Amino acid sequence: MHIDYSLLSTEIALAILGLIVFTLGLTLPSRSTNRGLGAFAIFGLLIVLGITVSFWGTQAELLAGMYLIDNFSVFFKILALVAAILIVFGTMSYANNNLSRQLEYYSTIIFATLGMIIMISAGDFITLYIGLELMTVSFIILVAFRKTDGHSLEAGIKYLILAGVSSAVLLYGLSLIYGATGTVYILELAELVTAGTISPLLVFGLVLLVAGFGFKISAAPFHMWAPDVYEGAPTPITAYLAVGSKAASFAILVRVFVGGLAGMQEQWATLLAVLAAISILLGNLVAIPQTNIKRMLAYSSIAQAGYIMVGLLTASPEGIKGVMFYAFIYLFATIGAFVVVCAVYEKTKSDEIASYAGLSQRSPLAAAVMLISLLSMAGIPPLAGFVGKFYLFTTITDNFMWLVYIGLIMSMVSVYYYLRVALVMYRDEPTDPTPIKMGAAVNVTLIIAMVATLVLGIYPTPLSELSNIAAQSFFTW
Amino acid sequence: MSWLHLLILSPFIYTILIPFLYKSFRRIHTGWFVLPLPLILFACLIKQVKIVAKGSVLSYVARWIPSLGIDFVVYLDGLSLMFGLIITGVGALVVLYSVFYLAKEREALHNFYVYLLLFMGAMLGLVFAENVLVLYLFWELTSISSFLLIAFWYQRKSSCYGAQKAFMITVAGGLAMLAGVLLLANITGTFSIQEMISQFSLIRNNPTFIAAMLLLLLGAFTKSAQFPFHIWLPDAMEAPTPISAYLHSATMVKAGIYLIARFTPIFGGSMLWFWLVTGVGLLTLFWASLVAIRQVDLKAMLAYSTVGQLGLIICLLGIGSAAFYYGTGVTEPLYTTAILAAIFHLVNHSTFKGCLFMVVGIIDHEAGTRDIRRLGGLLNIMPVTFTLAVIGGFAMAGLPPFNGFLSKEMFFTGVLNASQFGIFHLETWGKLIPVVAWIASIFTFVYCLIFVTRPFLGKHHPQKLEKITREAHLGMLISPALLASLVILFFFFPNDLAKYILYPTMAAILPGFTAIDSGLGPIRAWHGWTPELFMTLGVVTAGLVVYFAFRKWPRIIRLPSRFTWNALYDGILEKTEELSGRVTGSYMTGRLRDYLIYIFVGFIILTAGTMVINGSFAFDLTTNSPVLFYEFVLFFVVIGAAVLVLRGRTRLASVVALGVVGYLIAGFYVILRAPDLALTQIVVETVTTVLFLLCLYFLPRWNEEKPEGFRRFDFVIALGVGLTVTSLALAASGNNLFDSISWFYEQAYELAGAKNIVNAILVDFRGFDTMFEILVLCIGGLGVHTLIKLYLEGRKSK
Repeated sequence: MHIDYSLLSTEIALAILGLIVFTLGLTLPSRSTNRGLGAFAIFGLLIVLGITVSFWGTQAELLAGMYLIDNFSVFFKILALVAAILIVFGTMSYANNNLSRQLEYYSTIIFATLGMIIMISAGDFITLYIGLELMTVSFIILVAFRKTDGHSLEAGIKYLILAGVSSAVLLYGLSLIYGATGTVYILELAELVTAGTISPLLVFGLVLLVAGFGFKISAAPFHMWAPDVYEGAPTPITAYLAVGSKAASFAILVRVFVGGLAGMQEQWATLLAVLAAISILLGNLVAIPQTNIKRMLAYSSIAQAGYIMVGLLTASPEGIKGVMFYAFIYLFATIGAFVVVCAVYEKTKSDEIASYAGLSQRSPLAAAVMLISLLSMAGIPPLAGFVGKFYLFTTITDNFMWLVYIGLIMSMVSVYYYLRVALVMYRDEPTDPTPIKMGAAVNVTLIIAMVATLVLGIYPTPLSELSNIAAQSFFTW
Repeated sequence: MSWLHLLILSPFIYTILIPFLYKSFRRIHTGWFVLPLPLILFACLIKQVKIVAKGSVLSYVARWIPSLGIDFVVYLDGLSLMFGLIITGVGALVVLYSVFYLAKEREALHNFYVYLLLFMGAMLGLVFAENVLVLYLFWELTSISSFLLIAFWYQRKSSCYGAQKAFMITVAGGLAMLAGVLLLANITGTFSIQEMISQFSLIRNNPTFIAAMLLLLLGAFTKSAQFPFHIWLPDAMEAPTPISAYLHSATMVKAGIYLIARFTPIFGGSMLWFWLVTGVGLLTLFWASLVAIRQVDLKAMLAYSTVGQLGLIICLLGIGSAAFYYGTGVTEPLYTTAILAAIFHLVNHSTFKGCLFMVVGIIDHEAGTRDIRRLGGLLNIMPVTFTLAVIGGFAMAGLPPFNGFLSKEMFFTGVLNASQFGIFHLETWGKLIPVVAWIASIFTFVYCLIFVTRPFLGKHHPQKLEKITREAHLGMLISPALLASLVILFFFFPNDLAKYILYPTMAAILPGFTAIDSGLGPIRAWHGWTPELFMTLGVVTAGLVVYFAFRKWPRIIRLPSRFTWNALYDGILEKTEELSGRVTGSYMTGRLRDYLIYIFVGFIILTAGTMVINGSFAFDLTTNSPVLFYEFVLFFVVIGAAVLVLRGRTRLASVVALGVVGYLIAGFYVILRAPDLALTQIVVETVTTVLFLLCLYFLPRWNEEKPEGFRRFDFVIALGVGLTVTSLALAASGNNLFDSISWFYEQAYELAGAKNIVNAILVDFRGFDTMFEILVLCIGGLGVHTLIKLYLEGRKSK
């Protein structure tokens, strides 16, 4: 069988990069290499990003549908890579100071990215699972990375066990679907599963799949791990979990449900709608009393997962486009917020919201980015979050109007708890008025996040068109 | 892009310059740089007055988000032009006033003017937007800029409280409005307001008509601070006074009125709309005027009076909406007088209330307090300010020769007309409207009198004040004086105003309206001994009586603070926090056991629930092969071993028992003739058991040597999971299977030369997956390596 390996350039390059970074980390002994290693990783990731971008417009399958390359997957790959680059870039000094002499850090991040990318392009269940596992194992290591912090280890163990449970559920679901249809290929599945041929077994497989993916995107009621793990993990990893892991999981969720199981839309749409509603309600209501900013963001990310799920319900190009658009703007808002969390932690050694008092005086840029990111997540116009939510919710006005109302009301609630952070930052007097000096890298990352959130809110057309094209490619298989 | 787009965007563009101007010209008050902008915009709009008065309407399109059908369409008709003139005109005066009000040495002027310009742009965008989504966008932007401006003195706790409250309530209303317009868009398939209006009959016959109406009204009522959402406005008075004058009396709070006026052609004519708009407006007028009387803070008094006056305008719009009862709207004076009165009063209110706010600002600025218990006798010290207060106050009270008199008379005409419509049960209930309106007017008269007399007349007590009081700087008097002169000017030349501003505005609300055959006579101050005049005389007489008997009043109209709407608002916030705190506390325990319980319960509900709903619990055992003796033996031993895992006294015993389960599974494979699977299972099981035993060495000692007590709850959940999975497996085995996979066996030998199917699958059929899997294992290994390294380092450092 002829295999066109060039289609795997992104994956191969990323694997090589990971190995080089890993080897360099082992062979270069001095501490001073730490910074250099980060810079090298970014440089390498940028090259991989370039390679990935060059695949835009390619529509090809590898090994009879085991591996799919289309604009949809390229879009999400770019997203994962951009997230990795921004996070590594923006939190390099945090990593140097808090995760010193652990040079496996960068290579593990790269491997986690590789896992995401394999997952995003997966065309069959086994490849999907392996990508998922690669990502999850890498994240387990990363979550437990802060050796001195008991929280970090606890988070690592929780993540390990709960991810294990979720993987088991997912595998069970996949095997039931295989049992019902006799195929593991998603494209074949789409042909086999049509409205007339749905067996109960398929429905069970579907339900278990929902549960399994529910973990990965931290949708209620499978979200339990998120707050503890988000709080305990090193902040850059939390950010990457919130952005990368979630986006990749959404990509594969879309691939399996809309791509493979579109014939069962009737069965899963209601289920997903209910889960989305629970996630939105729970995530927003429980975020209110949080005093730790990472926990608060964890809960808000549960709610965000609920919002994104809305895009799947109609199984239409518009919905998929909404998912992609939202995932992309959510990336900037989340990274903006978490990079600020990193910067503040470095100075105050605390993630409590109270320690953000007077941030506007200590670092106006950090406070502004935090505010804009939070308001974007709340969906306040003219920030990007509003456009994203709008894309998502307009797709379901015909069938799920009740969900639109829940979404609107809960957006309101989210304004309340986001605003409290804003008030602490802008109103309260700082206990320690010394300005927070952030490095140039942090500043650049923050400005990128802020500008993107603003510009995409006011002029969303370019991104909207790109995601439109990508969504179209998804449906042309 | 057109000039109108530029007009909307220019404040936003200008904001970019402000911080630079502030930094480079510290010696010049930044306000001077800002001032030309609203002046220019005002001039631009004034030029359009004649064109619009002739009945033409301007509309320009700019592409924005074509994929969603959202175009940035701007639309200039009488209604938006009138608002535009108020926004830019009052805006210019407020900027001028603020130059003298805010000291350039102390205040963060760059922030102030950035926020102010943001607001101005947003407000212009709001009134000129033709697309409902663009309208919503600017609507929320006004809320945001209002939030920023109220919290301008963010060091004060009360500022932040007020800002937050205003933001929460108005944004909540904004979201309701969004839902409402989305419903409308759903019905009509367009985001354009004018196209919606042209399809009004389609909307009226749609079942979601009422929902859309209520949601839209919620947006309008929250923004315009109508009862019971009025509570944010008094707290918003923490903003600097120029802002209160601008946002919270002249412009932003009128956005709700704008919305109601804009959508009257769609919803007007419905009984619910009529009574909701009229009723809420009237109730607000009554309640706010009553509460205003007992305020001791001048600004709070003005805040409540603003609430009341907005209610008056909304009430009039509600009455006027009856014109749409007959299709596209009749233009008989019986109906249209109310609308004319609403618009006229809206313009007048902007003038006299702006003037009054500025007067309060002057008093606050010069005397250091706004508390009427400490003020008095300012007449001799501040004669100019007093004059302005009299003009503004008497205009608000509805006395001649000020514009308020004219619109108040028309207001009485409007409410008197309502009972003659003969629809909506107005022949009976309609009699109530003039009565309530008349009583509310008495209260209005009383607080106006208090406002004018208490700070200025009586005795001056310098010892109660922190400052030595003088007359205000001339610059601060210019703006209120200009407004005051407009108050008088409009009284003497109301018909010019009507011709150029009011009638075109009416034409925008009532599609068929033309000034010539409207049947509305010229606006006159004197039109004989009409009932309206007697009502006014009654108001004055009764008002004077109430005023002089006032000292006994406060206690009567004071409600216990527990029952106020404010308490409700605070209570809701508090209770929500409490509730979510309790929810979090009870289920986010941080214990893995609890989390697993939730997950498994979720699993059972999902799967078993699906099973029950689908009715797919059925399975057929008849086609199964018979169960052999060996299988029974294995079955019971597996169960025994599983129980031992749980009840084992030591960890070692449990781990060994777990191993036994695994090996027995391999036994099943052997019986079912799958030797390669059995082989694999045995290898895997051996390795895991050994690893497990190795781990035991490192685990800390178990504190409880005894096995834990029997947990009933856990047992139930375990049983549930077991039952669910078993029935799932049974249901699965009853499923009609696909083609045999024996193909793999044959191919494995023929193509791959393999005698072990597992190996063949791993290295051949799924070679790629195996490679990736090896990668996963590598990463896992690296992780273990890293963690061990960390562990060793941790030990060393100890």
